[in-house]
Amino acid sequence: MEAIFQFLFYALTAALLENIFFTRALGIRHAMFGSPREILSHGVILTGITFASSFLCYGVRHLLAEQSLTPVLAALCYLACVTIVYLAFLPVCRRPDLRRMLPVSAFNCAVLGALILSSPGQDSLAAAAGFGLGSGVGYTLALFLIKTGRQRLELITLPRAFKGMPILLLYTGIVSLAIYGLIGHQLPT
Amino acid sequence: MFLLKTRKHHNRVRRLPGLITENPVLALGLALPFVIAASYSLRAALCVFTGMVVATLPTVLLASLTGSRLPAFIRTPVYALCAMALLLPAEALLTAHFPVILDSLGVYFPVLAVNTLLMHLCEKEELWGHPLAALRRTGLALAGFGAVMGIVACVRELFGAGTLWGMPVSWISWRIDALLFPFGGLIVIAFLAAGCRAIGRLLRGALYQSDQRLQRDMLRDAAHPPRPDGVDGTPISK
Repeated sequence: MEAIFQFLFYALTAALLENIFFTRALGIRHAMFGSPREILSHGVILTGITFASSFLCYGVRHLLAEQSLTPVLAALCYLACVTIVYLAFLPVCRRPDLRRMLPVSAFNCAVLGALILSSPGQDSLAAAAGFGLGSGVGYTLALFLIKTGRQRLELITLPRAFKGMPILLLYTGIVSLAIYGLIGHQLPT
Repeated sequence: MFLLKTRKHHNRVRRLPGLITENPVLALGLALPFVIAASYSLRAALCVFTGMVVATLPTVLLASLTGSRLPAFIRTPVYALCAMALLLPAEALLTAHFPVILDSLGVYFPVLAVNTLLMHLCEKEELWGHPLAALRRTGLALAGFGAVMGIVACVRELFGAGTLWGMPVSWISWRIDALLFPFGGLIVIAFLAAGCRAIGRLLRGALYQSDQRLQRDMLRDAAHPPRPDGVDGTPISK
């Protein structure tokens, strides 16, 4: 029971409070392009890969707990875990569009960032898995939120210089600021 | 249409793809997390840029040499693992010089191995089999990335912390601390992208207007040629 609570707690923390998209701007490029269908496919693959990799990374962390690894060396181990999961996902993704999207969704800053961020605090498998799942779900929700904003921004009159990417970055910055305030941080004065 | 200066300008900037046109950050939206979140000071920007150069240049060279020979499904993991392996010496080098900065960069230094600029350049099929072209293109893209990163880092450090390269700047009497947070970076980069776009359009507009003036002058000269002087040498216009 405790493991379930821990799983849910870390999943919610990763999805809402430590959303990798809004708090760290990881994987932000994918928010700028793509239809809702592509965003959903990307998000589902990314969540699956992050979730599955978090188990392997947890094992690797425990195996190498006594070694003092540098951050990059640890990240290399995590990347190897992602590669194994990616190769395992390959036969599952048979549709051409999913197969094309798989490398992009597996090897990006959001996946590796979530795995690196999950490493210091989580000392149980449930926590690590919860953080992995929550990161993927939170990232997908963030992409949909930005997509909704993008659709609305296309309908309003803007200075020409701001159309497209600049206004989307500004919008993301303001949403990010709102989330920053929502989770209880105080802006420095 | 008469577009002499506009075409000349277009041809000039087209020779530098990545630096001026198709800037990886401002035009294509590549490697954004590093410019947004990791460029809170010039030193941090230098660390990220060093890591980016060390990871990207050899990996793109490898991609240009092996791109067409590797099966599509294995290419991306090979490039990512190669870039991560290259980051190991870069980490050792930077730890010796900027240990605190590298520690504060946290997640952003290792994720340089899977940055979108690297993946974008590695998957460019027109660079496969042309290592020199790949190196030139990567160099220009990295220069474009570095320029944007430097400007953003300068603005954020100057107005966010009141320092430049860690040294206090005396004429800054106020600070906007929020600039040091990722959302501050997002807002700065949004205004920078819009500003660059506006300047580019103004420049193109000015060149176009200049071309139009030149064309009008040429047409007027063709319609009303200067009158020849008289046979006896006295000017007729007089």
